[in-house]
Parts: sequence; structure tokens; C-alpha cells
Amino acid sequence: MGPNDRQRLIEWVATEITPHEATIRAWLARAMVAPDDRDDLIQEAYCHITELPSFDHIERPAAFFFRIVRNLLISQLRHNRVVNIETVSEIGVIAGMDEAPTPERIADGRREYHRVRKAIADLPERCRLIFELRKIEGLSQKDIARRLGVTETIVENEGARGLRLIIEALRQQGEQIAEHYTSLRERKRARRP
Amino acid sequence: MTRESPAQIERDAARWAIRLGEDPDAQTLAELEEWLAGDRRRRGALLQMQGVSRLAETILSEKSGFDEATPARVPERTSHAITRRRALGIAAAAGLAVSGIWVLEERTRSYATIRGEVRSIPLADGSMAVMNTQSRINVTLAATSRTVRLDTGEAWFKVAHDRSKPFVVEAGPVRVRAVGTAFSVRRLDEGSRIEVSEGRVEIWSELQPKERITLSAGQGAFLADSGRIADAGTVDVDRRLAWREQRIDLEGETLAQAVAEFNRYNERQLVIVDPAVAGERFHGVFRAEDPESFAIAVHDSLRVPVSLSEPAEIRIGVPPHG
Repeated sequence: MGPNDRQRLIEWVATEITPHEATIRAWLARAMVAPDDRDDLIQEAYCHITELPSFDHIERPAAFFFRIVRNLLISQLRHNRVVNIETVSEIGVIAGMDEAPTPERIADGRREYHRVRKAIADLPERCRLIFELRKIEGLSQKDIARRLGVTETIVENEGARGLRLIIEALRQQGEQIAEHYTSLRERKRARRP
Repeated sequence: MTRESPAQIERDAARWAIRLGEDPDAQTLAELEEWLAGDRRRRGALLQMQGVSRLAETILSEKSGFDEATPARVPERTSHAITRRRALGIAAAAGLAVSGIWVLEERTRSYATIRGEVRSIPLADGSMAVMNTQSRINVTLAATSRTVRLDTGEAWFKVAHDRSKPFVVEAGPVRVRAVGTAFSVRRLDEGSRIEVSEGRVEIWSELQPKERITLSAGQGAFLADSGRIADAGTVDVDRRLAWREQRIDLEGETLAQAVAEFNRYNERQLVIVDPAVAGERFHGVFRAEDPESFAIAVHDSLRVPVSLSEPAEIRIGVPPHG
């Protein structure tokens, strides 16, 4: 894969996959996967994406990504690395994401985009500035450091901190979504005679 | 060897994502390769972080074109067809070139579905329209208003919240106004049927503009073009909106009603030949595009003959003899 292809892949991940990370994390939480194992699975799944010969043909990238995560989870369960036995019974719950999206799910897609926007908008000022300079002016780490009058290390630290803050926000959003669905289901259950 | 924690991989990957930028030099790439070779999850985490970074760059560099909190700068207006003409007139009178942005903002887009088609349309403001069979809508997203004209058929709307731009569906003289909510409108011969799945809407007819009522989630009503309201009350909105997933959900509807519903979606029409069975009631969920299965279910439950031999129609029952 050449540098241009790599840039296209990054663009594709940014628009098609990243906004759905919170939802995917929510599904994993509902499947009783421990927090560390969720991160493991997601990192593995992205690794699979880097190994794809091409990605343009993928029709619903988020569902595709989710399928990878789910398949990884299932094979890990078979090898017993993710120990929690309750997971097996919860797999049916996450299996639903393969199905054609219902209007609510599509509408949720918009909501997801909104969520990730919020996570990014909430970054500290200097982190935001670094990302703005990267994009608008196409500056390298060295140029950004010069522009801001700080060392390159500080730019690297601040930028990396920004990325981790965004991932952390997606993680928390995932937890919130999972709790929301759990409470909905409990309410539904309570209503039943 | 202990397994590296995902948090550690994440920390390193975040640094790499920042370091790499658009075109890294050879030495950086060599160091990167060395790091990547250590664990396959690193390769994944790097792509993840680069995706996050790209998204952050994109979102932060858009100069707040998407800011929902932006207050309306233009006073509320009733008809933008008129306003648009006025705006163009003013621009022309002032000898100014008409701004391309104006024209783009006010452009109306039309969408239509054929029989049996159910189609989701994401709108530029973040709202979503799902159109039922044989429907046509015209969408105008303007600076201070969002208008959807429903010419025919039925559509469900999930409205992106934006207090400065009321979202109004026009079905003949019937109006349904929402801020951030989800609802459906079905245009019928002498009025429209409205069902609300989330939030609240205000409905009225332009023929009786002062008589407005509010419907909340879980409620539905038929509003005649004349402004007369009928059938207002609680409805099972999920069931009523089963069409969005191309399902027909029957809960005690008569055979005549069910047949009319299937016939909205299919070229192959169901025909009740024996009027004696038309009032029989049905329960169950069916695929809208599969009238054959429904006919077979009718045959099985009522023990009436069903003829599937004609390509254009499916006949239920035999005509009564004198």
C-alpha cells in the first residue's frame, strides 16, 4: 500500500468508522466484555482493516467493522481468552448489528457523528490548535512547534494527549449508551406482566 | 513475556499518529516499522489514532458551519417562495450579482418512490426522511426554515434539533410543525394522517390557521384539509410505522383493510372476491412485498380458496352464487 492509499484509508476510517466507535464499544459493554478486552478487540479489528487488499467496495463500513469485532470476540470466546461466560448468551444481542439498518439506526448514525464532534469540540485549546494547523496549513510537527513557540516534544505530547482524550470520550459515550440500553430493556421487562 | 496492555499501545500509537503527519522521512519510517513489528495490535491502534486525528483535523478546520446554537439572524417569515423572489428582486435592483450561496440554500430537492419502494433520505441539516411506497416529497432547507412538501404518499421524519429553523411538513393545506422530534405524515384524499414517535408536533390546516393542536409521542390524528380533526388519540406508533422496515403489522384489522394495505406496495393486487370474508380480522406481521404469503395465511386460517394463478392479482374466496 503506497502513501496515497494510506492517506485514503485514513480518510475512510475517519469518516466511516471513527464516528461509530462509541456504539461499537457500547455493544461490547453489553456483551459483558471487560474494558481492557474491548480495547484489545478494537485494536485487533483495526489491524484487520490495515490488511484489507481494498476497502472501496465495502458498502456499509460501520457494519463491516462491527462484524470483524464480533467475529474476533467469538473466536476469542472459543479460545477462552475472554473469560466471562455470560458473554455467550449476550452474543445474540450484538448480532443484530449485521442486519440492515432500521431508520432509527440510521438516524443514530447522525447522532454518532454528533457525539464524536462533541468529543473533539471539547478538547483543550492547545490540542485543538495543533489539529487545526495540521489540517488548514498542512504544517509538520516541526513547523507547528515553531509556530506555537514550543518544542517538538510538547507538540507531540499535546497532540497525543488530544487523541487519547477523544478516545476516552468515545469510551465514556460507549458506557453511557450501554447503560441507556440496559435501562430501556429493564423498563420493558418491568412492564411485562 | 507479558502481553502489552492496550492502554500502553494506545499511548504509543497516539504519539506515532502525531509524529507521522502527511509525509514522514525515512528515519521516522524505519523507527515506525520497528515499533509496528512488536505486536499486531500496534498496527491497528495506529490506524485508529490516525482516523481520530484526521477526523479532529477535519472537524476543527470547518469554520463552525454546523453550529446548531447559531441564532437566526433573519426574522421569521411565512413563505420563502415570496421571500426568495423578494431577495432576488432586491439584489437585482441593487445591481448585485445574486449570491450563489443564497440560491444553493434555497434550492428545493425532490424525491420520489415507486410502488413497493421504501427509501431513506438523509437531509443536509442532519434530519432524516423515510419515504413509504409511491410517495413524493420536495425538501427546501433555508436559512431560517426547513420545509418539506408531501405531494403524495407517506413519510416519516426524524428531525435534527434546531430551534432557529422550524421544520414544517406541508401536505395540501395541512401543516405539521416540529423542532426536534420524529413523526410521520400520510397524505390521504381529504386530509392527512399524522403519527408522532418522539417529541411533539403542532398541526393545523392553512384553511383554519388559528385552530392548532399539539400531538405528543405515541399520539396520532387525522386532520382533514378543512381543518377538522378526527381520530385523535393514542396509537401504537411502532406498529403503524412497521412500513419503514417493509413490514405490515396487523392487529385485528379486517381483511379488507389488510388487503388495501398490501395493495399499496405491490403491483400484484389482492382482490377479495367473496364479500362475506371481508370483515374477518387478522393478527400477525407480514412482509409488505409478499402478498402471496399473506394470501396463503388467509387460506389457512379462514379455509377459503385462494387463487394464485393470475400474475396480475391474487383472488381470495369464490364469488357467492345467488
